[in-house]
Amino acid sequence: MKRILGIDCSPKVEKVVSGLFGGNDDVQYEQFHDGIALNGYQMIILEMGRNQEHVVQQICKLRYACNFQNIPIILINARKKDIPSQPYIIAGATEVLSLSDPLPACRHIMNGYLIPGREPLEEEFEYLDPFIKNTCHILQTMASIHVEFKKVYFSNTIRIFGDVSGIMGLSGNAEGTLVVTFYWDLAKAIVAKMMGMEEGEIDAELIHDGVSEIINMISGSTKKEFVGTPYHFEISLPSVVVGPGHQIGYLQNTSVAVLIFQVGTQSFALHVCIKPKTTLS
Amino acid sequence: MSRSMDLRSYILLVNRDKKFLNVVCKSLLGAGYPVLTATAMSSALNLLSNNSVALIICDSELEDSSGYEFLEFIKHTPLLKKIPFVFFVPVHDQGNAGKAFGMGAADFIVYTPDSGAPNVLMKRIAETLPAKTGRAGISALPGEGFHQSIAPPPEAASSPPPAECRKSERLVPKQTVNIELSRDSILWLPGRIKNISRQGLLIETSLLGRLGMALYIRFSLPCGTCVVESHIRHISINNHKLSAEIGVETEQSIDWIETYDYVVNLKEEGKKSAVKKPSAEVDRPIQKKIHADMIIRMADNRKAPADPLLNHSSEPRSEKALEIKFYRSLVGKKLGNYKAVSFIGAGGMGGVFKGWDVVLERNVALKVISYNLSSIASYRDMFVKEARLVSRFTHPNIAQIYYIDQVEDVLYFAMELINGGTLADIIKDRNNLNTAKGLEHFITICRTLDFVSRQNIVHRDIKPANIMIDDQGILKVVDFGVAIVNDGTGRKKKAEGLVGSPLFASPDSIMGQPLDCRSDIYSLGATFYNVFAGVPPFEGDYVEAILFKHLHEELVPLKKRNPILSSDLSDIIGKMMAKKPEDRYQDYQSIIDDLNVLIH
Ligand SMILES: Nc1ncnc2c1ncn2[C@@H]1O[C@H](COP(=O)(O)OP(=O)(O)OP(=O)(O)O)[C@@H](O)[C@H]1O
Ligand SMILES: [Mg+2]
Repeated sequence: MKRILGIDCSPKVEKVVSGLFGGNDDVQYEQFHDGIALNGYQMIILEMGRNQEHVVQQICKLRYACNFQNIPIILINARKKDIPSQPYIIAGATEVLSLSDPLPACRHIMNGYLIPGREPLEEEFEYLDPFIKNTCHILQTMASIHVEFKKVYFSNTIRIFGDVSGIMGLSGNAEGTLVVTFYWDLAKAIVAKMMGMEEGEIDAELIHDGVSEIINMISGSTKKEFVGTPYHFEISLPSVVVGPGHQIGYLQNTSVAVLIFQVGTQSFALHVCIKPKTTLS
Repeated sequence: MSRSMDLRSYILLVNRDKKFLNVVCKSLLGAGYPVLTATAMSSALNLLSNNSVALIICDSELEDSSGYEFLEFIKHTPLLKKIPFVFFVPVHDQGNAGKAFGMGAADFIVYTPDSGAPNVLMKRIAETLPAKTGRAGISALPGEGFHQSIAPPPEAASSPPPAECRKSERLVPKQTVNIELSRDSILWLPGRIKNISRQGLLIETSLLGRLGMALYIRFSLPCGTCVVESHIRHISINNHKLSAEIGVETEQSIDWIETYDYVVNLKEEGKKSAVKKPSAEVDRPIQKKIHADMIIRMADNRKAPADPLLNHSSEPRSEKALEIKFYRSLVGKKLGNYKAVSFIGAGGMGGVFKGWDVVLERNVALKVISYNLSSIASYRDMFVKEARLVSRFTHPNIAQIYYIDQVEDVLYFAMELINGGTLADIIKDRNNLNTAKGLEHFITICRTLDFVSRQNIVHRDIKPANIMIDDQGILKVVDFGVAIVNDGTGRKKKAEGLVGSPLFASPDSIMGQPLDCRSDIYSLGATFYNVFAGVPPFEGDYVEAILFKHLHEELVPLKKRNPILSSDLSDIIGKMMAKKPEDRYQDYQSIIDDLNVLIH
């Protein structure tokens, strides 16, 4: 049995959703409120209100509440009008469906998202393991912070929802992208420890330097381990972006692994998209 | 860090009363402090984002808000909150000092109208402003100039420092100009020009840089893409949930001069076409270079890269768009004993994923059947039956079917994964195939389909996209029995609708007649017509038009399209594509015989 949470659903949408899932799944309904608890749900269904900005805000808050867990957020447009879904997707919605879409399509799409995720392949572990190990090690040595690897899921694109992210483009023998993404508070706490400062003293500039440094160290140290393997990549200069909701170009036909790490009760994510060149040269 | 402190060199004076501003400003300037003035919180924020400010002196009431609101904002903005904030208020407002300190004000100075406001201030400034960023800071900054983005009070304006005039040339482009920023010219981030001067740009972007950092800026001009080097001169971030603003100083290169002229001369035209054009041009190089250049997309209306999975902008929602959403939901999932690793592409009948067989531990291709088809019981039965047959034979030129399964309503099969492209890719890329090679492929496929037809199996969807060539150069026919048998009614659908591609459909399949290998022979003829001519045999804007031509229009002989071909080859394909099945070759062996004559 799957647990599904419907948020802000009108009777009309409730009826459709309950119809889609039948009696097999447990669908609960709630009004949106700050601090909404999403734990234990496999899917969130949010009915889209009229005000785009407000909806985007809601999605952002729900993404925060997910705390980097891979919970699909399906936005339902119950109005007749077709709207562009891009702003909502970038904010963190997984998919936008409309009540005017054929029901079988909606059912299949939602069911697709409810299918359990896959475990990494052995060949994927081969390159994910060093990233996991080095991420933990680096934060331990640079910031004396104990980091635990929690889990990994695979995504169809690189979408980041943290407040601040460090991005490293990988080139050379293997190419791809590496993104570490934090919520502001955790970033501040980590950077403060790295720099030996009080959290109150940490400003955007220090965050920039700290997050650059973290992604630099993770990619740099992992790069060394890949020398002589098909995953050997070169790194360049890290970029730091602010604001939640970015979609980053990724390599086609390549999976995007999202590694979730835990620091106390907080989490952060490392996105790894790396594609070995087929011919070793 | 100290470098940025040195740059915070202005005193920002905010007060509703212009006369008061003038008086205080004058005495501060006289004492050697560089000053910026504003009457409202909004203009003050503007100044803060364009200049280094070492101290804010503010009244309790502003034109558009209160000083407390302003203070609160400053204290919640990471890059600004370190700037000391001093209230400078008339005596009757004294009651709120407690509140101000509670909110983080550095000082609360009260003056009486007669006490000579500037003097009170001057005394206290010396205490508040650390020496390093006070007068010393000014003399340390000769190269930076004396920036001021609003008109200074009249008194101060009478002797403007020389560098000041360049600020007056700051222009806001008349159209939205999207640009891309990069540190390493690998990863490009989007940005938007807020204003431009000969010296540089103010850019809105989510890239959080650092003072002094070198940045490449990519513009797309009508004459092509142009990259300019620059350095970050200031950064402001109001709120970490929003994007940042950065000011950059550009290298004075020819490219920059050209770019500047272009942006400055943009006209405010009929909004849509003018605004759209440059951004579409920005997109094009990105799409092509998606493998080399990683881009970030923010909440702007950039087009999605070529990857259909990313293509959320494929609205208005067509059935195809919904199908794609369905395939997207399956990436990273486990279907039975298979893991869907990444998405490869979608056709009319389903979507293809790179997959992994968990039990046998090998790579596979997973084809998920479109839910529109899989929910038709008769289709499912037919498909399963055919796939069962196809899975029994092994042939070097047929992509083997390993397994068929249905998981939670998802009907899919696992087949041999082919690393390579399709014949359709090769056609797009004309130079890759010469006639001899084309003939060799032609014969190989005939042999393969000959083998298949002897088992009484009709492919039904022979077309360039279903003939693959692996990285060893071996041809593989894919998608046996996936196509739905035409019942004569589904034809009204779009090109990517329920039927195989209309470009290669045989008249008999269009008419909904029972099909045998002669239908495949027609489609194969059409396929190689396309290979050798570079264009499909019949084209049209509507599916109906194409189908009509298959039924009724005479074929332009292949030789007419490509005169270097032999008329024999042209005749062979012409015969394969006869309208009536009985006028075509009746089996593959006779085609092979005729083709063999050509190559010997
Ligand atoms: N066995 C395979 N191994 C690797 N890639 C494949 C395989 N089969 C198909 N593909 C790729 O997946 C893409 C989509 O295939 P699909 O069969 O869905 O589309 P199509 O051939 O254009 O249409 P149709 O549904 O009519 O066959 C193809 O362009 C091809 O590149
Ligand atoms: Mg196909």
